[in-house]
Amino acid sequence: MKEPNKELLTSWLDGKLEEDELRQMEAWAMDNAGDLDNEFKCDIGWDALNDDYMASVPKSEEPPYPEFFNSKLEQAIMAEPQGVEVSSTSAPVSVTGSLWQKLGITVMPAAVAAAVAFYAGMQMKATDRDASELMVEVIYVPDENVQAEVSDNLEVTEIVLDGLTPISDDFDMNVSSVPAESDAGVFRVMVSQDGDNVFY
Amino acid sequence: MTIFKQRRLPWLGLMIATLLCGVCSLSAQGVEAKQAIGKLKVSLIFGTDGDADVAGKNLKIISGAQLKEIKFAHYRLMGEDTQSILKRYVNWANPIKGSKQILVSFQPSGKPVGGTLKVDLELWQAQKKIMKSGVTLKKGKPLYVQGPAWRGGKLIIAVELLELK
Repeated sequence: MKEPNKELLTSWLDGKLEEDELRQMEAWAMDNAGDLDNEFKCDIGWDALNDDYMASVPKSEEPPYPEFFNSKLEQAIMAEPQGVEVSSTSAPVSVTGSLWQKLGITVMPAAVAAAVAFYAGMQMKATDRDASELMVEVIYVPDENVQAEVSDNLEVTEIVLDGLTPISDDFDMNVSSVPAESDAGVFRVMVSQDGDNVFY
Repeated sequence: MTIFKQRRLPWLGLMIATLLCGVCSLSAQGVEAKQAIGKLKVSLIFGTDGDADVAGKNLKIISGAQLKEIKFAHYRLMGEDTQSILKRYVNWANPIKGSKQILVSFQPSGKPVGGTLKVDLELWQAQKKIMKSGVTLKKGKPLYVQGPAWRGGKLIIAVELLELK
């Protein structure tokens, strides 16, 4: 078969070809996969439809030309029960199986894996988004007698620590109300002594 | 002997050059680590249902309208400290000048993303750590921590992201 024109290709892709035309087209497609790639700019190549290819697809990108593959696989799956029926009438198409039915068998595991991976990726993205909205991820309190409760809304995040050692009433917080030059902002060494974190 | 010395000279030069490169690299890393990626303000607030003047006279009265769980009748601003957020350093804020009774340390644990910054935040009371948390700070959304009791009320530590580069 000579290189099909665009109309024939489009009819084939739309599943409108039948019998001889279909068989010829599929035979041509099997031998000219590279040309088909170039024609449709999908840059896949039939040989690439394996796990390696799926692994090479960046998670952030959809596999190229998904509608095309999905529709053809769908057609193949839909055609399968008919094929069984047709085989009883010994139609040639059902004996050999269409290209897409073959591809359906070989691609199906990869397609399912891709779908699962894609779904998992979407779920991971959703989880990441949720995590970024969660303002307090985890709270650690060294004193086991201290309880921490978190409250979060759109305007403010609140943490209530209950059970802390009270500060003596004699302690004057305004011992130096004059804004002294802050010596904070400098990193300091923290060491652990007997399980307690001590600040130097 | 002279030949030996002459042969050693290129190696010596190479070693010095390598050392200089290492020093330059460490210096560059140090500069990057000290890069300020934003500003953070830590305020110490006294909240009480009783007489707020026990905290001190002429303290700034502030509103607690935003607060839902940490609810008191009166709030007074005891002090505040604004610090740059250095990229890979443990930064410290000291809202009570001249005292280390309440301190806050914070260190970025990731890059700024969409106006938010994840930090490892630690609260210190009397030089002991009382809380550590991984928090995501967002500009315009402060974090309030109800801390220890004092003079019939509670001390509240407010952490607010002022600026993010």
